[in-house]
Amino acid sequence: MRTDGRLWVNELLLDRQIFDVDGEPVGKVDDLEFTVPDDGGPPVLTAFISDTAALGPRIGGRLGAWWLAIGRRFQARADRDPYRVPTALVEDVDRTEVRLTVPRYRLSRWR
Amino acid sequence: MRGAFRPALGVLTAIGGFVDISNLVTSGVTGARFGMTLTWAIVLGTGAMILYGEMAGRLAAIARRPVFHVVRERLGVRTGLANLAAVEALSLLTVAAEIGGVAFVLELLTGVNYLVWVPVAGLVTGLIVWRLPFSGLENIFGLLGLTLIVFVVALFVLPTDWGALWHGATHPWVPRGEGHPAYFFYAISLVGSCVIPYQVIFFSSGGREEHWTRERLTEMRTNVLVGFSLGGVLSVAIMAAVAVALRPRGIQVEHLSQVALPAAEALGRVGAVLALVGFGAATLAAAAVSALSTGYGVAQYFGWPWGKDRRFAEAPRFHLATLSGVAVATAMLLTTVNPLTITILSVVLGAAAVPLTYFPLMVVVNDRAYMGEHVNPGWLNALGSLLMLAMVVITLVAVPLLLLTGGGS
Repeated sequence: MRTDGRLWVNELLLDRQIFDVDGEPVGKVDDLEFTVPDDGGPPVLTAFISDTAALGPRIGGRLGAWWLAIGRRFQARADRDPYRVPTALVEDVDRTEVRLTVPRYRLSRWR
Repeated sequence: MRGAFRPALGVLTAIGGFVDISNLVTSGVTGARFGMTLTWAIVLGTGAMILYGEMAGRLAAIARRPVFHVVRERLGVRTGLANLAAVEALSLLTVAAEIGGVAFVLELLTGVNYLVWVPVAGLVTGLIVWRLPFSGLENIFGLLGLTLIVFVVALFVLPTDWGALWHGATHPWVPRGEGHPAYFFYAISLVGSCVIPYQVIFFSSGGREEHWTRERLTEMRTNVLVGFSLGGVLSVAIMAAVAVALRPRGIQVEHLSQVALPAAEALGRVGAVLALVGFGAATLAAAAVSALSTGYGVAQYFGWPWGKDRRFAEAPRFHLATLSGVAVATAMLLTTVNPLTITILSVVLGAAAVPLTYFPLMVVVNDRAYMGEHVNPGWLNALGSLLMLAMVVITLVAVPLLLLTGGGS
């Protein structure tokens, strides 16, 4: 790990376990959501995506495409967001886990 | 007994994960064919299990992580998924083998064909993994499985030539009339029946279910030492009892019932019943343990809530994965495929798959970010690496030997 405060997503974020304020498992960091601010400027990290279907593109190839397609069909409503964990609710991140400031049922969609 | 000596998880792991159908069968077969000359394989397997079991327990107690969490973190999505698929396939074979073992025991007790008992055994396994609390699983099966000590007693009742047994154990040469391929095939089978890929998944997950902490490291280590040593002693006792009672008469072990013969010869009907109760408890516990491991692996890879003591609504996908594992395994058996073939296959392929879960485990217990001051000491890394190397060699020769010897026949 570099020591100057810069970090790469692979060593800090991706595939880390997310725990809620009570230490209950919420999910993995399967993907990251960036938002382009209204006034322009570079994209900002706004949420962790924790959704089994979101793994599809990371698996890659035909299997990944199937994964995504099948995973989407399992979702109750197609227009729903994947399971988002807004970065505003994150208490702390280290190399081994992500901890939240709220219990898991307070998140936008609890399955 | 809080704070006192509580080796329940260790005993369950010994009875349910160690002395299971594969261990009963391979110990029996090798005792009848090779006498005590393969004792070293059990000692090696037990030693490896103690080393890696302690690492898995330490990971659960200090980093509060089960093994498949770290597999995903360390190997990433793709490699982790391939790893998961291999381990799950093997665990399913094991669940099928164990349910077949339970059905065999029921056939021996009732005289009704085992196929009739397969759905019953599957249903009971499903109910156990779904409804029985974790502590119940530990206490009931840990205790019932202890009846296998009847094999140790049998050795003292039978006219055992201890000197000859010891000579066989300390002179591991291939007996006359047997070939090297068969000898090494069974050596791998014995190691594979002791060192199982899902064992570290189960032990670390069980440690989380038991809420092991830093303060309970000693308890964890007692569990590892008592549990796995007990498993090793029971396998050696079964091998020795068969070597004493059956080998001189040239009887080959081709069925689970023959493994119980030494106990029956030494102690009559009581011995036979105790042995069969032990077989039943060990195989049923192993069916539950391996089924739970399929659920643990999937849930931990995807980060879902998991745990036997969580209600269905709190961890639906974990329970669903576990129960479908039992259902698939039961269906596999109902195709009338020979359960002993599944057993041999699961053991040999299992030995080949050991590095899949053991290697990431060893990498992470050396990481200070997880373990703090409780990282592996140097000597443990040296020993662990040596055993890993041995397992890799086994991986390379296991499948060719399986084909060459036609499954050891």
